[in-house]
Amino acid sequence: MSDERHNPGRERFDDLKEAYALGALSEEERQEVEDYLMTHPELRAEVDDLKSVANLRWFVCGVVIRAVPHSVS
Amino acid sequence: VVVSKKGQYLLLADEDLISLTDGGDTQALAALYDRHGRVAYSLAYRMMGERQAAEDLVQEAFLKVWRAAGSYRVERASVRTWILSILNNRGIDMLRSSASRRRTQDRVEAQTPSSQPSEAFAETWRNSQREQVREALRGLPQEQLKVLELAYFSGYTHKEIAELLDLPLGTVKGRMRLGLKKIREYFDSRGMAVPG
Repeated sequence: MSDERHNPGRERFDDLKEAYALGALSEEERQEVEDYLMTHPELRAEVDDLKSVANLRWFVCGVVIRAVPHSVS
Repeated sequence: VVVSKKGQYLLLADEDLISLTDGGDTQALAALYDRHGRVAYSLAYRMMGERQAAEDLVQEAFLKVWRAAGSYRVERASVRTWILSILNNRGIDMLRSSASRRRTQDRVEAQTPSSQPSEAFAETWRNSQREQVREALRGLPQEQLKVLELAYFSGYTHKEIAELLDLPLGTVKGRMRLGLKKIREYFDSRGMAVPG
């Protein structure tokens, strides 16, 4: 097995990147992702792309608001 | 051992403080605020985007806690989750009102014939982009849209969302992943750039 296939850091990054783009990580997790990005700048474009998709919400916040039920429980 | 009255409240569980609040005990409400006010403010600020509105939202949420303490059900959610749900719902109401005011303002401005052609074109372009994004979002399953909304719009972390929706954390992450992927695919399949 190559290192790439057994890369806990990368697996952890892949596990957290969507939540990171959505701003849905704890401070500790967010720092973890940013530390990983510092040492793997080639992944920055992937995260930026996820953020651009996540940010679309601001275009149509009214639609999204209406789509959300009053009770989340 | 002598414990002050305030100290006694520190020893009580959240559920006990809710019961006392329901009985009209303002110090119990204050103790709940001491415990959960900071995270409530953090969430409120992320929802509203500015300090004054966030403070107003927190105040309204705790006022609702005061008035509705009797409706709390321990079997449905933790006290913290319940308080954050109240805040989330009230925040959405406030943002709805704000969005409605913006729409009215947009209509008024649209009826004003003073726009220059370039401004009119830009507005048409923005409207077109908005409609594309709406369509992309409408194509998402409700459960994915809800998770995205709770994450991005309401400021919950993925772990809090899992608790709120009573789902495994992996399911929440999966819905985030699929939701963002589907939105991306919507634009890719049409050869369009993601608006930004």
